[in-house]
Amino acid sequence: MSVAERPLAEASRVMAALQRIWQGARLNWATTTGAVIVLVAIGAAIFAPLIAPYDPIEVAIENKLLPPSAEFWLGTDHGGRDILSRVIWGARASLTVSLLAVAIGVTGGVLIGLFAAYHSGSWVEQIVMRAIDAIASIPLLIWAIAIIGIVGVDSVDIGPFTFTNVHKLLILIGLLYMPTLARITHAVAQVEMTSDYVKARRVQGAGNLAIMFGDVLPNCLSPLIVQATLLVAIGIVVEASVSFVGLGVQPPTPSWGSMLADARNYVFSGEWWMPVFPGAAISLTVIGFNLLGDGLRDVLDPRRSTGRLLT
Amino acid sequence: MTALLLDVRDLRVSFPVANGMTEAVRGVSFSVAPGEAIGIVGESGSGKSVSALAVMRLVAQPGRITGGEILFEGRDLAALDEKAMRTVRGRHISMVFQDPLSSLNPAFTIGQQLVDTVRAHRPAATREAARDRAVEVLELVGITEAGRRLTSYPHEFSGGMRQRVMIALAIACEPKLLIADEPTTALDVTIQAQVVALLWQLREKLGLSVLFISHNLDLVAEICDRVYVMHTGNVVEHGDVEDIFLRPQHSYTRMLQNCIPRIEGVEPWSAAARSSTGEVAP
Amino acid sequence: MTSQRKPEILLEFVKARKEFLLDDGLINRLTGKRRLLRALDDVSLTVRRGEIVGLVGESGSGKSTLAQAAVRLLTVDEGYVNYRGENLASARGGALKDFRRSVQMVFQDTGSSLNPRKTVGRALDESLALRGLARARRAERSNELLNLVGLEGALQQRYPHQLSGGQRQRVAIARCLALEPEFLVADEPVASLDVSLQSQIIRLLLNLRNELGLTLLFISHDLALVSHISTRVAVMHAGRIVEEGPPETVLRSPSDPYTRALLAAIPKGIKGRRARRESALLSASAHKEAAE
Repeated sequence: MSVAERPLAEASRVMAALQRIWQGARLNWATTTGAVIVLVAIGAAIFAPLIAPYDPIEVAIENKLLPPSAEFWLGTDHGGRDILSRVIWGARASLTVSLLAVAIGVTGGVLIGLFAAYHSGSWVEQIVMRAIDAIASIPLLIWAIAIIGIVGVDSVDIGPFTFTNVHKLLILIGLLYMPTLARITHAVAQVEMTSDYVKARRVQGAGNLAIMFGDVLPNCLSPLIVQATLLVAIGIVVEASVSFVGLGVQPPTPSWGSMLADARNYVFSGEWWMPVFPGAAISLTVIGFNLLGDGLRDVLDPRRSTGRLLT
Repeated sequence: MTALLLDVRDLRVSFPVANGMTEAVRGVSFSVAPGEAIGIVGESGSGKSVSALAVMRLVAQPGRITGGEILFEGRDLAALDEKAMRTVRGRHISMVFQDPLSSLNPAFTIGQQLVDTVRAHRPAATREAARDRAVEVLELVGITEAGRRLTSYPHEFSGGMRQRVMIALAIACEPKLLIADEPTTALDVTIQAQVVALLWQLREKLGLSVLFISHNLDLVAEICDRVYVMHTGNVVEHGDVEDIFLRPQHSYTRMLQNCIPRIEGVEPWSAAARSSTGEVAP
Repeated sequence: MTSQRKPEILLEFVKARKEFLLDDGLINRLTGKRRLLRALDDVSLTVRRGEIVGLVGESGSGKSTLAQAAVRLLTVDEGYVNYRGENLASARGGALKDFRRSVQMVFQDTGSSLNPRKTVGRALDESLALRGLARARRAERSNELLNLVGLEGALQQRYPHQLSGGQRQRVAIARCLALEPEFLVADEPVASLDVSLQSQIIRLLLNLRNELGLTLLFISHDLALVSHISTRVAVMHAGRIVEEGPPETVLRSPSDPYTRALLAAIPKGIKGRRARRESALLSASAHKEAAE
C-alpha cells in the first residue's frame, strides 16, 4: 500500500482492536468491573487536585468527627478534614508506590530473566536463578517493615538525589518483586528460545540482543502483564500495611493505611466512617486489580492463538 | 446378504463457533460388513476423524451429533445414553489413535492398563485370568517376553511398540470392530509397515472388522476392501478399493491420486527439475 | 565421462561427528556415567552449485542435526563443515555475515517458524533490514517477495495464525528469499501439510530454484518424494550416510540393506494389496500341503 494509506490502515487497526476490547468487555462483566475500578482509582490519583472538594491536609477542628452529610459526603476525621478528599488524595500514595514498584520489578525481573534464559544450560543461569530463589524466600511485608524500621523514616540523600520514605518503600518492594517476574520471564524465554522462529532469525544473521528483545520478550508479555496487575494489588496492601504502622507515608500526607491507623481509636466509639471508607478504598482497589488481572489472563491466554488483545 | 456390522446413515456432527454452528460432518453414510476392512481417506478438515469419533460417541464437547443414525448390529448408538455406550466401547467397538504416547497413561504400567481394561468389561474375571489375557494379547501383537513386559511403563517402549500395545488394549475384550484413526501417521515408514502387517494378521486370525482412517491413499489401498473418500464433511466417492484406486471418478479423488509421489515412473515436474541442472554431471 | 569442469562445491561435510550428552540426572553426572548420543557419525556429503540433493532419513537418523550443522545453528565436534571452502566453525565477522546471507533454511513446522506476535509484513521487513535494504524500499520489496511465492501483498497485515498452513510455508520461503540466498536447506518443508498442498509447495521450490538459480538440500523422510525432485539422493541412518547416488540407482539397485528395508516398507497401494493376497494364498496352500 502507498505511504499515504499507512496511517489510515494503522487507525483502522486500532479501531478494530478497540472494538474487540469493547465486545470482550460486554461478554465478561468481571473484567469490565475490574477495569472500571482501576480506571477510577487511577483517575482519582491523577486528578486529585481537581476533584477533591476540600484540602486534605488543612486542619479544621471545628468540623471534627462529623458523620457523612451533604456537606462532607464521607464525613470528617479527628482533625476536621474531609474524608472523601483524603481518600481521593490517598489514591496517589497507594498507586504511586504500587505502580512504580511494579515498574521497577518488571524492568529488573525481565532483564534478569532474559539474561538467565540467554545463558540457559550454563552455570551462570544456575547462579542467577538460585540467587533469585534466595531473594524470593524473603517475606515481603515483614522485610518492608523491618528495613524501614531499621533505616528510619527520614529522607536519605545520596549524591544529588533525595529519597523520601515513599521512595525507599517503593524501591524495596520493587526489588522484592523481581524474583517472581524474573522466574516467569526465564521460564517462558527458555521455551521460546528453542522455537523455530528464533532459529530462523539466527539463520538470518540477527544479533542475540535483537532476538532476545525483539522476538522472545514480546512472547513473554502475556503472563508478565497478568502477574504485574496482581502485584499492583499486593503493593497496595503492602503500602497500606506499612503506613498503618507508621513506617510508610508520613503524616500529614494522606494515605489509606495511615487513615486506618488514625481510625484505630474510633472504631468502637461510633465514628464508623473513619475506618470504613479508607478500608473500602483499599479493598475495592485490590479487587479491581485482581479482576483485571484475571480477565487479562483469559484474554491473553496463548491457547487462544496469540490472544486477541495483542493482535 | 449378511447383516451389516456398522451402518452409518446421514451422519451430521456440528461444532459451535463464534456466531452459530459449523457442520464438520454433513450427511455422511458408510458401512462395514463383518470381516471387512473399510478405509476412509481424506485430508485435514475432511471430517474423517470426527466421523470415527462420532461412532464411538467420543466427539469432544461442545461438539455434538446433530443428525443421522449409527446402527451397530441393528442398535442406534446415537440414541444410547452414556451408561449404555460404555458397555459398547472397548467391548464391541474399539479404537486406536494416532499418537500412542498420549493415548497410554504414562503413570501406569501397561500390565495395569491391560488388566483394568479386561476387568472393566468382565468384572467377574479374576486378576489371574485378566493377567493371562493381558499376556495372551501382548503376544498376539508381537511383543516378545510379554510376561516380563507387563511391568513396563509406556515411556520405556519405542513408538512402534507403543502402538502395538495400544492395539493390544483395543483387542483385549474381543471387539468385533476396530477403528484405527491415523494409527501409523506418527511412525517411521519401516515401523508403519510392521503395524499395518499386524493389523492385516489380526484381521485374518480374529475375524476382526477394521475401519481404517488415513490421509494416505496408498496405505489404505494396501489393506482395505472398500474405500470412502471424504472432503469438507462429505463423502465424495466410495467403492471397491480397486475401482477407487485405478479408476477414480471424482476430481478430488483423482487429485489425491496424482499428488502422491510414487517410486515407479518419472513425474512431469521432476523432469523439469533435472533439465535445468546446468553442468551437473550425473 | 565428460570433460566438463564440475560446478563449485558449496556445502561440504567432511567426516563430521556430533555427539549429544543425554541428561541422566545428578547422580550419574557426579559418578561420571554419561550417555552419549552420536547424532552424526563420520558424515561426509558434498553439495555442488545447482544441485538438488535429497537427504532421506527417518526419526533418529541425524538428518535434523545435519540440517542444523549445515546452517551453523550448531557446530560439529570433529571433522569439518565447509561452505565455499570456509570452515563454518571458525568463521567470524564478515565471513560469517556473508554465510548468513548465502544460506537460508525452510523449517518443517509452519506453526512455529514464524513469530506468532509479528505480522507477515514485519517479519519480511526485519529480514530485508538484515539484507541491508534501505527502509524506504522495504515495503515494495516485501510485496515483490510475497508475489514471488504466489501470495498477495495484502497479506502483510496478517498474523501467522490468520493464515493457512500452506500460506505460512510460503511466507517462510519468502522470508528466506529476502536475503537473496544462493543455497536453501529445506528441513521437511512439506511434512506438516496436506498432500494436495505438498505438491504446490514442492512446485514452488523447484520453480524458484530454476528462476533464481538456487541450490537445494532437501531433507525428508519420504523417499519417493525425494527421488522425484532430486538430482542426487543420500540415505541417512543412525548418524551415517549409508547410500548415495542418482535417484534411479538408489531406487532400482540399492546397495545398503537399510535402503532396501526402506523401499520395502513404502506402501504400494493396489500392488501391495495384491502382493499381500498372493503371499497369504501361498502360505495357506503350503499349510494345506503340509497337512496332507
